[in-house]
Amino acid sequence: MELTKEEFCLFNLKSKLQFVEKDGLFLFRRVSGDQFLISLYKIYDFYIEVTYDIPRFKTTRVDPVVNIKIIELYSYNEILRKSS
Amino acid sequence: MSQKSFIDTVDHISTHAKKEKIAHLSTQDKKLIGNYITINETKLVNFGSCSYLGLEFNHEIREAAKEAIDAYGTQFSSSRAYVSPIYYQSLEEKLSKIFNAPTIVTPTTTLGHSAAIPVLVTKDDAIILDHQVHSSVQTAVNLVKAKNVHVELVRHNRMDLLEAKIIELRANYKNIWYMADGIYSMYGDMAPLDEIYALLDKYDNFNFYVDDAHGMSCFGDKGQGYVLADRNIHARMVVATSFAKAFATGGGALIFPTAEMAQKVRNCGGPLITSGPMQPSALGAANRVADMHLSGEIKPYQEDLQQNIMYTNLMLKKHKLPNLAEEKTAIFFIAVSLPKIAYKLIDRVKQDGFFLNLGIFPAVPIKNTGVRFTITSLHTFAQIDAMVASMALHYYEILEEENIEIESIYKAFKISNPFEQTINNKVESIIKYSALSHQYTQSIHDVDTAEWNNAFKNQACIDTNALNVLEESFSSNESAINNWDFHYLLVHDPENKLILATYLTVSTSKDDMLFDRQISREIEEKREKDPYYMTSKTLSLGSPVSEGKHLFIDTSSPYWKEALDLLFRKIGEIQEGSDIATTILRDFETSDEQFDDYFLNNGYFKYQMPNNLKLKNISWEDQDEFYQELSKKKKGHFRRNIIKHSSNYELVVKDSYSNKEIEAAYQLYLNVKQKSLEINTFTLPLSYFKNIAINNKWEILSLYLFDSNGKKLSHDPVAVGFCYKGNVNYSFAMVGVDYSFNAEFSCYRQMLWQVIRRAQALGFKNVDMGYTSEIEKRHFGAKVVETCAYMQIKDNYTLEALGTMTTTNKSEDGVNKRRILSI
Repeated sequence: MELTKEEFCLFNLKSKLQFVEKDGLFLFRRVSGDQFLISLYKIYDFYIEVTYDIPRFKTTRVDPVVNIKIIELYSYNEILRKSS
Repeated sequence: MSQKSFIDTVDHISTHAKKEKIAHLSTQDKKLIGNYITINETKLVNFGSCSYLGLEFNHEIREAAKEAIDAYGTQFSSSRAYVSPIYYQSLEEKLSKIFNAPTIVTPTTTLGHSAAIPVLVTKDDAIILDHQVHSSVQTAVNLVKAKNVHVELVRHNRMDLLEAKIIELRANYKNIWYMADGIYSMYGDMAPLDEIYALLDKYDNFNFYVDDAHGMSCFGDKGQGYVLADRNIHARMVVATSFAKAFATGGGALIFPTAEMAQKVRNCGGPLITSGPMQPSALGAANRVADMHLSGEIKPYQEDLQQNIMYTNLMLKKHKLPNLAEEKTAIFFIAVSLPKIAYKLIDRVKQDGFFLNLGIFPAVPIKNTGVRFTITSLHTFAQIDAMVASMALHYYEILEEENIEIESIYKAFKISNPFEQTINNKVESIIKYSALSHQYTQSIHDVDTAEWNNAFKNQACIDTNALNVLEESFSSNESAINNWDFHYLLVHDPENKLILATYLTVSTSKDDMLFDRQISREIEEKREKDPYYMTSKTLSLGSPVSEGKHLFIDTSSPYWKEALDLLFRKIGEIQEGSDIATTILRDFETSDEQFDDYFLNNGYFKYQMPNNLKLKNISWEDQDEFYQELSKKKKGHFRRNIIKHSSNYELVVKDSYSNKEIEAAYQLYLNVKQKSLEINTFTLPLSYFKNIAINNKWEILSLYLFDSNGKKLSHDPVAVGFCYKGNVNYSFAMVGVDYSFNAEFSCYRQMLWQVIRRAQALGFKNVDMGYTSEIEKRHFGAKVVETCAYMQIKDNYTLEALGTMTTTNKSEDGVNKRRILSI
């Protein structure tokens, strides 16, 4: 059963990651400032970004995409997806 | 309801649940992995565990248990009054920090209650039990009840009623103790702590004893439980808790406001002195778990659990399942209403790989049966998602199969349906029953006399004539108690053949009608001031005065179950329309398993009726022949009690009676009624006896008494019998006795004999002798016919309130009437 974006946001990081693992569809990945690896997923009927902190070896954020323009940031990163 | 009858009822329900393979199960796993268990060769995700934080698999806790065994062996076998192993002291110190109050460790929570309550509560105190407080608290309260401590029951979580009781009792008792659970184990709801603390502050002799077993470890920054999560213990409060749930080690604890109180319970609490201590392994593990609570290591577990609870609530809402539990607790209760739905649902979800629990009578009212499940931090969202999806699929599937509308379930639980309704079930229902035709009416005048009397030809007081008398007598009376509603239902198959016929009445009845005499005696004292005290509306198959098989059902018809379904639907409508508290379907044969299963599945529990006596197959022609048929012992009784006085009596049966004669006979009936509490019914009105007197199928047998000189000893009869001439049976329905002559002249016994003789003289082969006075009737050769009834109580409160009245030193009925099924 699907969650809405608002319901998804009620949960903590650990739970959100569980949802991503269970129901998320990986789309693209991008690197931000050499420190963060950010992955875009489609989950239920919305999109989320999963932020991985490279130096700290841990996922630090899972947030719904609120601005669709953010997709444009992934155009270069399509290569990353193909090579991953 | 006697102790035997109650235990038989619970035994019957448990046996049925076992037969359905949903209770008394056993795992087959040699080693548990995660939250899976194997039952009947099926691997299941366990949704029945109360180990809410999943700590039982924690490596460090298991190691601590092993280390303690290595150090102290498998047990340290000494009373704590002599010496305790080192682990106790450290554990109690840690727990006192967790709870911020003096704490005693107990071997189990149940033993903790049994240790604390008899020490804390004195004979000058009163106890008010919450209606749903855990069975183990009630068991401990029975210990002080035996010392005549005043015990009352208050409706669940009703703080207004609690305060009213405090006000009522506070002047007469030194301390008033309210005993409740922090989180209730069946519906997962919570005690209203803010309001209880306010009452503690408001009334200086009000005390609170609370069992927080299901809250322990799950709430509070140190895992101190639901009750103490956000507040300190009150100065007049004691908390009992459990280590056998989220704490995951076994054992329990008592938390006190003062060290003195704690020491007193430690010194004087019986089970703390005489019962065995916790085992070293459990103590070792408990010390480690206590460390986790103090260090904050417990927090991620608590958080995982709350996330799972939140997700489960969301899923249940999305799947439109009626969940009764509160949003914070790990206990969920899905309302299903009828046991048959619960059995099917649990079984089908089990086939999909999930283990759930049944919530059924006596833990909840039988018509409020539900599926209970628990969530732990070990569950994954995928498991929860799959389980809830499975439950939702089968839930609505079963409702369709059983032609049950979701609305009726919401109504049974007195909650409104938050979701949009569908008409599918209604349409299905109409299609299913369209093959049958039925007649429903509220008067026997509308029923085909020949068809009805043929259906009930073997029953004495159920023909149309007897029902006419009843309808006339129990309507338009001044007192509401004497006005009954009548409901008749006849169901025909497609060929118009009768397959079901019955009548039901709605009347006001005494809640203690079938309870122990001692209880009725206590209640009758209160009824002197308030005649309606502990009375409620009852829907009964037949009527309060008739006996015999009130349900005609042709079980050879392929439609008989559908016909019964129609009857249950009609009963449901009457229950709803008349606000019925109790429904009694009575006078069934005890050995009919077909009916047992059917009624239980439809939300009725079985109980034994008082023994009914019948004299069958009369073949003797006169008194001598009757006498010869008796056993030696009965012959002696007959000589001493009947033959000895027979010359003193004259039997009169008249065609008509004056008002004065009827009133005199009625007075004799009242004499008997006032003495009889075995089946505690309301006194029948004079109008009924007046109607009997003018009905040609009824007759009044009047016994007049004379001395040896032939002089009448009393102007009026000394005994009267009210008898009905049925088609096959002669029925002895009511009796009246002048007790001033009974001891010397055995008036009652003489009446029994005259009834039998009259039946024989009229050519009857069978006499229905009625309930009660079993020994007396057996002296005349009457045989016991065991019958049973199926009962449905809308609300267990009354049953339990009556249960609290059974003091252990006064009654045979001290059994705990709830929570026999351990949870």
